[in-house]
Amino acid sequence: MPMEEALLNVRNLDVHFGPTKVLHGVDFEVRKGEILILMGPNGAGKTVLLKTVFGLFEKSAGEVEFDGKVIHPNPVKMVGAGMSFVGQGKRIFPSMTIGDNLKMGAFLWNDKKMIEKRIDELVHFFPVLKKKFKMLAFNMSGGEQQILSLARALMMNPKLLVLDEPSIGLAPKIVQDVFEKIAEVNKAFGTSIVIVEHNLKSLLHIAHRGYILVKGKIAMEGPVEKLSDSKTLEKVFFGELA
Amino acid sequence: MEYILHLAIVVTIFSILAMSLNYVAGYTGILSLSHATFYGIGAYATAILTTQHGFSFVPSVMVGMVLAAVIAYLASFPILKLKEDSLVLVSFGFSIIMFNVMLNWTDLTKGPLGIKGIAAPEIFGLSFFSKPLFFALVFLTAIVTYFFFRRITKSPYGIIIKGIRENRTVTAVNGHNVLRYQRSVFTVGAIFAAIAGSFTATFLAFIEPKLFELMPSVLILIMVILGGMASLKGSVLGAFILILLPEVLRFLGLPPSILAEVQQMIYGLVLILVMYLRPQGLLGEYKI
Repeated sequence: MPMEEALLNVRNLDVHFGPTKVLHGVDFEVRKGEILILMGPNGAGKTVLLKTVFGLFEKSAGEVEFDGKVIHPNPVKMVGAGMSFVGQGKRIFPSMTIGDNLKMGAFLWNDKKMIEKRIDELVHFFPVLKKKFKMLAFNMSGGEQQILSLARALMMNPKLLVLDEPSIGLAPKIVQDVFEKIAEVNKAFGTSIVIVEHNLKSLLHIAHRGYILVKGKIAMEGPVEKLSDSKTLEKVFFGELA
Repeated sequence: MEYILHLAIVVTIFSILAMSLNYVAGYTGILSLSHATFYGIGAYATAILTTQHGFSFVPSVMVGMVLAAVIAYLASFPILKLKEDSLVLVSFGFSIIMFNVMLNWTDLTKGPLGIKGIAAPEIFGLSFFSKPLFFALVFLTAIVTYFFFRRITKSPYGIIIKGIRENRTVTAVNGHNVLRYQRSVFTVGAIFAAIAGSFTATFLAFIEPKLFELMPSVLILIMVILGGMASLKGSVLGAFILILLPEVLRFLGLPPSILAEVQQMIYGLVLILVMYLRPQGLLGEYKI
């Protein structure tokens, strides 16, 4: 169950790409144990926000606090602190086995036995990976590759998992399976999860809260039921909230 | 027998070069055209230190290794800042600069005249002047090189560098400092190229800048591509085929005046055929 305590706190975040300001003083919070959706039309700055928090883009102003500590984000530091990021598309290592793909997510640990134990836990959690463990990753279907990315992101047992449009390129049935797995991850490991997603219907029954980002600013936030109200969504996607 | 031993030594030296470049290009995806530069640094370090400063072989090799490591590490900053095609071009630019340093710093390198009279290696009083002994020494070094790279590439470190080759961004997203890994790989590759250079200098007893220009870098890269990206055995096979192929031409009775040109045309043809027919090379696991 989600708690009131914040795991990630982003305050007054600005991001510039050259002279263009793409995020304008964004305040954003992820609470411990919750599944949070980040919505908004294309170009709103959702991916930029998450990539900046993870350190893939440089912020021009603002503060990122993770698990009670203010951090200047970079991927090495954020993974070490307990944040995992799965970008858009099939983020796998195609010419490597599924086992090696998983190991790539855990090499900040030096303990080989610990890595093996974690792989064992995850292949039990995602049985499809167990069946194909020694196979090269490019031989997997799209849905399986997405599951592999998800499993790899969980290798370090993160406190926060960020998924940027995990349903892209997947058939509706597979999307449903992937989202169910995401909900199971949240329940089984207590992982806080942020999902950037357009496919709101599939997420309504698993998400707790959400933010709507429009033109680089937070336009709305609140319980997912409130945000998924059809009139609100109309306003978002037809530009009335801008 | 002398002739066969001569070829065996050349194949073995190029195997060391190809394995070290495969570590850089095949395993990590850094398609560098500057490998012959580090090969040259090792060769010049041994040649200058043994002929002009009274060094014996082993310390001169060590100085060559350190020098190659320092230069490779510094060069890795501009080279590895870029990716793919741009990286290839910058590494090419770096090799042009270094070739011109070797050619024009005549006080040190004697420029186009080259350095003559480089003595055969002598280790603990044992001279490796005779070809069988020299071959044994180079062969032993190649075996050590093979097992060194084999161990590294099968380790967690090896899996991470292959990850960089496959997808830099995802590797970074998994918390790995991509540039730091790439720099260390580039530097270690250069160290082994320098060792091969020291052997070449003492084997030929003469070196000149032409031995370390762009063409040898391209030849080593073709060996890696032909043998197979990310395959150490493939690198040895690539060196074997591309060193022996021109020797076959010699037996076909081609006039010596056109031998070098035909040889280079064959290297080009081999590259084209491999890319069309077997892009992962003969024993490789990864398509370029």
